[in-house]
Amino acid sequence: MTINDDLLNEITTMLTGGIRPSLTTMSATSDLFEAYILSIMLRAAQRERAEIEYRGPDDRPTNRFVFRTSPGYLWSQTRAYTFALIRFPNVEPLEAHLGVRVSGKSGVLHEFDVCAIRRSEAITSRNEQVHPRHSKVVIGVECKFYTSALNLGLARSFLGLGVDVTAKNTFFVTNASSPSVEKLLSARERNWGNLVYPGATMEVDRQQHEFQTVFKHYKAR
Amino acid sequence: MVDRTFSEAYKVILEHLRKSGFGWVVAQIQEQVRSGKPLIKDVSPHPAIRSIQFVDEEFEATTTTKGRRQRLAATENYTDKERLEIVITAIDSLIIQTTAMQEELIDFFVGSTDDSQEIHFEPDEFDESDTLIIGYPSKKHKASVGDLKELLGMLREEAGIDNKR
Repeated sequence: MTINDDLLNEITTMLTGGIRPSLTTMSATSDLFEAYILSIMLRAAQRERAEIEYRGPDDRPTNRFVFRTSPGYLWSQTRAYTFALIRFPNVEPLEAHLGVRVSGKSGVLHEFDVCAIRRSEAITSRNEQVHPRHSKVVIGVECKFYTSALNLGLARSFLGLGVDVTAKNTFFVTNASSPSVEKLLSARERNWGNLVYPGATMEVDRQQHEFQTVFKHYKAR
Repeated sequence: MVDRTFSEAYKVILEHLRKSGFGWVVAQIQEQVRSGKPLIKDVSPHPAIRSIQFVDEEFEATTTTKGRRQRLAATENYTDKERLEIVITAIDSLIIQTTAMQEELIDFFVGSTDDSQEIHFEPDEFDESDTLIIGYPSKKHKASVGDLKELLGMLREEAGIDNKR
């Protein structure tokens, strides 16, 4: 079987000039994907009757959306980073952040691409300039945006993270798919979501439900 | 014009991606191709071997009973058609998925506010990465993405690849 050369030319012409993705670097696509997963987490909270409000580093409401390009300290005032305040009735509110460092059991720092942290812990972090403790993270997500199958090393790193942070509500979420990664994480009973991208309705719904389940248990405590 | 084999088409697209500054995409594709396709094989493992030592010589004795069939992990190379599928998926992720995510993010976070229709991704102190500002994709860009999606669909169809995306 062969491929029609005209068709191939049309595609390659589009790639080289006709269409430029607005995001050209690997880090830019990762940033976008992390924000996308945050939006799925916030939708899950809304489905669980949460009220969402966006706030800046001064803890005041904001309509500006500024997210981190790489992991940083929750209390950072360098930029007007935005976080989402999640309020469920009758339980402590949560804060959802992108790319913050948290301290593990050993006291060593780890990074969550997306996380929901107890409000009191986040306030302590901002006021005292200390890292949030992993035990106060209600949901932690490692996000991987890949254009092809993930390599196994990424799953191994995620498993390693589970040694030093509470693994129960940490998720490995990717837009891609990799049988080896999925097999390894399933064998180790870790949470993972694959093929999560706009238009993949079943996978996106499933991920949203998984976040919803965590919020459901959090509300019931 | 001469039509291309799957293998040639794969190489041509890779070359264009590389020329367009998407070396990182090419690297991810090549990494997957190099790693090969994981699969499970149903095999009868070789019977256990026992070493038997006589005075001066050592023999290997094989037990006569064959092991029961087991499912063991293996890896095989991707076919030309599968490699073409990998590269199509990569373009889909790079352009179609990111455009759709951009759209969803603006709708979700900014949609209801009167402020600037943008989301900023900014580096923290000592982080030297560039600031990224995303807005709603332009009509022209969306139209081009629609065209590309159609072309990739045609390419999949022509190559006999399941058009699941």
